[in-house]
Amino acid sequence: MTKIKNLEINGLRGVKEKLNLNLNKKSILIYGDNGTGKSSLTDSFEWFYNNHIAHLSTEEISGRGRDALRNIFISDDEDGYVNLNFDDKDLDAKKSIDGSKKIYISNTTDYFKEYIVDSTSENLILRYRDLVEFIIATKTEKLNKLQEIIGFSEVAKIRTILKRNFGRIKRTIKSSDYEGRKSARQETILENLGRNAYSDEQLFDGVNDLIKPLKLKIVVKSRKDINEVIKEISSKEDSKLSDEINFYVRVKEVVSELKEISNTINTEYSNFYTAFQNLQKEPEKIKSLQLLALLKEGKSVLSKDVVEHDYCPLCLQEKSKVQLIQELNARIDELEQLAEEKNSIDEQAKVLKEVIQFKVNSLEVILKDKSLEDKKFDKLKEKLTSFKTLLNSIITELGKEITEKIKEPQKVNLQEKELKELLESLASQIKKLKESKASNIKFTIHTKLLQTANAYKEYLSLNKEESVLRKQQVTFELLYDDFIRKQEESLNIFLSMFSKEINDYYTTMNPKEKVEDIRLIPLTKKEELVGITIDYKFFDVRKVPPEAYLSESHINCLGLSFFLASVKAFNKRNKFFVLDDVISSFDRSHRYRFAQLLTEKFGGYQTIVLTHEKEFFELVSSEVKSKGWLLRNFKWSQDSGTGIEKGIVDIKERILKKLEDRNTDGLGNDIRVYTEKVMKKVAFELEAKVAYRDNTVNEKRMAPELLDAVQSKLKASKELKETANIPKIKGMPMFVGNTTSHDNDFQASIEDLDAIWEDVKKMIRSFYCKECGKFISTKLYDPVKKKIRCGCENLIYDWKQ
Amino acid sequence: MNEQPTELKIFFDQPKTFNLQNTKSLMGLTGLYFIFSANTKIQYPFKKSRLLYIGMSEKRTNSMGSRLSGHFEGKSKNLGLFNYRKIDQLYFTYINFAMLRKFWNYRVEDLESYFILDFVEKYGVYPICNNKSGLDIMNKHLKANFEIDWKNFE
Repeated sequence: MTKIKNLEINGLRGVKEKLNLNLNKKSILIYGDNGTGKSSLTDSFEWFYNNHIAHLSTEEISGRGRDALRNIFISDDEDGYVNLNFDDKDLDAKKSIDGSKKIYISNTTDYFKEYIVDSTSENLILRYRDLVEFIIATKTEKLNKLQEIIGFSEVAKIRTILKRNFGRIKRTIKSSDYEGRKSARQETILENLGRNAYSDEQLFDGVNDLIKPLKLKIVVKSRKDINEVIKEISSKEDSKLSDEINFYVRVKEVVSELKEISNTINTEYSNFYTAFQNLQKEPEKIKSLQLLALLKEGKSVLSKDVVEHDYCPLCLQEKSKVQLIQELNARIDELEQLAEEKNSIDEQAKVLKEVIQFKVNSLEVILKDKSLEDKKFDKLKEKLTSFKTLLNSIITELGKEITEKIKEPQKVNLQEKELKELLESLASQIKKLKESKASNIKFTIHTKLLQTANAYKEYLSLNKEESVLRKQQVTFELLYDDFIRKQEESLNIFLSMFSKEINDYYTTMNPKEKVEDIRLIPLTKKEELVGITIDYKFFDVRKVPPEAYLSESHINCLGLSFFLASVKAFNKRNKFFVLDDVISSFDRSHRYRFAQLLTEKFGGYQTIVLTHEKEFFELVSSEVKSKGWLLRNFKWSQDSGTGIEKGIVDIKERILKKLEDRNTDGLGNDIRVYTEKVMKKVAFELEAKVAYRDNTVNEKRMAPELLDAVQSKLKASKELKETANIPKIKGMPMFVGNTTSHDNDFQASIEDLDAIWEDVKKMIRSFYCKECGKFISTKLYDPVKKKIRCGCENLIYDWKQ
Repeated sequence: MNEQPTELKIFFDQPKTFNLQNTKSLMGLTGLYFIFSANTKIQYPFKKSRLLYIGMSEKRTNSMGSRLSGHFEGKSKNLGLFNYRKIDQLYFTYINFAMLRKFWNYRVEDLESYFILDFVEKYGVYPICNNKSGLDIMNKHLKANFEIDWKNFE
């Protein structure tokens, strides 16, 4: 897995002049006040990997944030760039943006491209504003987010496609009314052949029986033979009558199919009407549905940090952004439930519309038949048109908006009685026409055979069509069921492991706080995975959701735990991550534990931590430095933009630099801070007694107190007492003061400070051995020689216990 | 009844494997359904037959599809069908009432009686899983001229 060796940024965001961080695969803690450009580093990372910066990709900033990417002070012919060198040299790349906003990448290998694609889905950056994003997200958003990071998004897409296809086929089968149409064809066969026929054998037997009176030489053994017989017994003079009978038969089949389904149409419209009316009973809620898009957009605006401070962008009232997002989520959730109800009614209407449309189409085919041009069919045409009009009016009702009024069921009722009467009239017409030639056996048989052959052909075609669709339906259904089952299994295994990690990190940062057993739980509705929620034990009682009971600091901890668990679980290519100002809302104890968590549980990772909290920086500096981290300080100047303030991190280096530069600004204070830091260590090693202080106050012990305590201890060694000469140090102006003046500098000349520094160094050298790097210590007391020493005996003094 | 030949031969549709998936296509349909075994032949008084049960649905809301799924899942409490399914593969076929409505002016329930009666006449007793042995549905007054293809189950 990849770590960063060197990072160089130039002309991007707040970085005007080259900013170089020689990381050499090490973790780093970077301090910088607000506005020093820490986020320029994070933004550059994001741009390098994602080719856009999410919080800059707003409508106001075009080009996916590209317009705000270049530092505005660099000249047009200068490139803004980020240059990353990795431990894998083949991934080294420089990504630049020129004056015309064109982007170039130095590494064009497939290997690098593949790396970038893989990295895009990894958890590399966490900003403060994104910290609680997952925790306060809606259940659906949580599911989507998790699916996205565990690579389930594609799986979810396939699931949706399967569901959509399954639904589409199911609807097609329903609207096609195969059973009704097949039955109508079998009825025709039964009527004409005296038997129904599902197979060729049954058909041929029936046909041979039918044509027996004609004493033809043909024995029907195939469908081709049937056509031969029809051809042989047809006569031109009977064709008009035959066509007319056939037309009536076709009309009869369409009307018969409509009659079969009329009851279903009436019942389903009635159900739709009731559901529609129920929904309309809450007009306020319906109206508020129109706000859903606005609320979602509002949430998006807040999440993208378009508004930086805690106020509502609409009413401009002061309000916590997190609280605002939470409230929006609650309203969105409520409206989405309502939208779901409405969707269910819409779906109901859609299916029924398809069923009716199919029947309308069949009627239209008949109405376009040339036979209807004959005036004797005017009444029939009128009747058929009235059915079509009624069906179309039902379709119109089904398509109405929820705010509109729809017709009552009885006003669009498909009258079964009317259909029955029409069918009887059609049957009577057919009978009459047939009887007009009843004496002509050949004609009678021809008519029956023709109708049978057509009906059987259509039956086979419908059967085949239905069979294909049913097979598809079964396949999609099985696939879908299997898919859901497997997805749930995998998700449950994943969530259980993932929850364990989150819980581990959270409880490490918040030990003994009665929040335990944090779990991510899948939510299902009608066997469908609809979301994920977070629950946890709070004083041994299960609670959900976190934002209801946890403080902002704890929610942030949870968000951080989620991110860190994601890093461990999903980052496969990169062994580094960036945390940008994530501890802002943490209190002191959480901050220290957070640093320990990073060094202990993420020791193998290269961590880039940016903070604007000086106290945090000072609190954890020694902890992380002892684990090999680098420490840097960002500054910002108008000339160079963001840069590294050299030497300030190590106080001693800072003092030396200031002395070299003859810069008295804060130098006295630095010397005092440095002395305090060293004297704490000396007091510890010599077991110098100081008054008891509470933990937090203990850290703030002042130099005079420490110097007094050590001086008192030096009664044991006259030699050391003289060498150290603590009273001289105590008399220096920066050591005369109290806690309130801790941060106040005093005014002194550079010469004074130079001399003070020399004395301080001399004092320190009496306690600290440069050779072995250790302080003299009571632990190294030799009771025989009665001496105290450093690790290598370079420093050794008499010591009376 | 309308114009019809002196006798109507009634054939059965292709057998479908008795499983839940196949019953779905009969949801919303009324008519008669016939459950039979793949291999087990029942020795009825006059003849052997694989037919086990004749069922009926008169309402779309309690369709052939829901009746058949009820039998499959054991909800109908028909122990015979349940146990025959344990020892042999079962199939079913059906007659959509819509196909016969023109030739049958009575109710679906009467059509079922007619079919059962016809089976009793040909085989000597009710289908084995119909759980009836008496003469309670021997309605001899319904006029019909169906020649049912019972051979389908032999």
